[in-house]
Amino acid sequence: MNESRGRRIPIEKMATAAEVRAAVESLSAVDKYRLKKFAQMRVLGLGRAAMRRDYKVLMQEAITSTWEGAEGGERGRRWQKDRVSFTDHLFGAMRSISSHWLESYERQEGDKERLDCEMAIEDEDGRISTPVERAVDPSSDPFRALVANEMLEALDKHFEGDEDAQIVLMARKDGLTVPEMIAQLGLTQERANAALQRIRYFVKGII
Amino acid sequence: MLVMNMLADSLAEAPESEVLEEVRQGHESLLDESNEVRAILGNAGRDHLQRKLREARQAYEAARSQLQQTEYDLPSTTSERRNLLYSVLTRRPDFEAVVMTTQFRDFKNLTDDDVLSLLRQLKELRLLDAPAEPTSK
Repeated sequence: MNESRGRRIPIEKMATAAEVRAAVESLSAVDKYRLKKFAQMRVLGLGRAAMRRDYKVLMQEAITSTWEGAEGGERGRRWQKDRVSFTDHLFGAMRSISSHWLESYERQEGDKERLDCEMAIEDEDGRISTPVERAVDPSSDPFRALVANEMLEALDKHFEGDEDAQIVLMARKDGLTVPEMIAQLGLTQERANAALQRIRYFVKGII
Repeated sequence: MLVMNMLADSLAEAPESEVLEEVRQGHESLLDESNEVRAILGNAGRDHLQRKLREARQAYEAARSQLQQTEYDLPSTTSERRNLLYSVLTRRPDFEAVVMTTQFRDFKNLTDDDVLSLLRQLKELRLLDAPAEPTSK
């Protein structure tokens, strides 16, 4: 996947392959830990849209697109080394790639639904059925869908007595960002960070 | 899932001390996690390089095949071809650097296939019929 042509980083500002290589080799142990956990959480958040891809695939695609971008051609993602750190660049790449996976999945599901409706048939008793209802889908992964729902339920249950964590979880489900939670819901930065840390710790115990 | 993305972002922004505390509380091995990520990134880099090499090789083979298959209007006998190459290089000694690598510097040692290959390259580069004097620097 490539950056949009409208905001392609100019060649003179992008990192070269040698600079990418140096940056990879310079990643600290903490950076690498962050990258892995970040990838795990993004993939977990996708549920079925991950389509059996795991955090390793997400990380591989992020670094591969960075290598491609460093070649200076039309492919890949260019790292603007003077503007963002290497880890931030990789986080951004993983956000973009996982969002793309979600969009592709939703588009695919939308097409399947339309096609399914178009191919509905009526039997002699007047019952209408669709191909999806009649067939067994070997590619479905009910476990993954269940995991996403169960995760939300587990979070709600575990943090029942934790007011700050409850605020963060509910606000996020409503679409608020962390700065918005702080601005609108009376949380301080410290309380929000502490709640996030507790939630992350709990989630990592499940991943 | 918005919650997971929020948690991912919060980890990306958390200070190092907080991350280390989480590692400690989770009884995880920072070294093991780090080694795993290094392997993932390293393998991806190697795969990318191998893909590039494969693409370059395929492009080279395609170009070479194209060069061999193209019909060139060249003399039909080996002596005529050799004479043509000699006359071109005599007329334009500057072409020698373009088409002849070190191993081909001694004209007498060129095989018939070498002569044919060099003439095709010159034809492909449209240098075979170039005038005796360079028209521009």
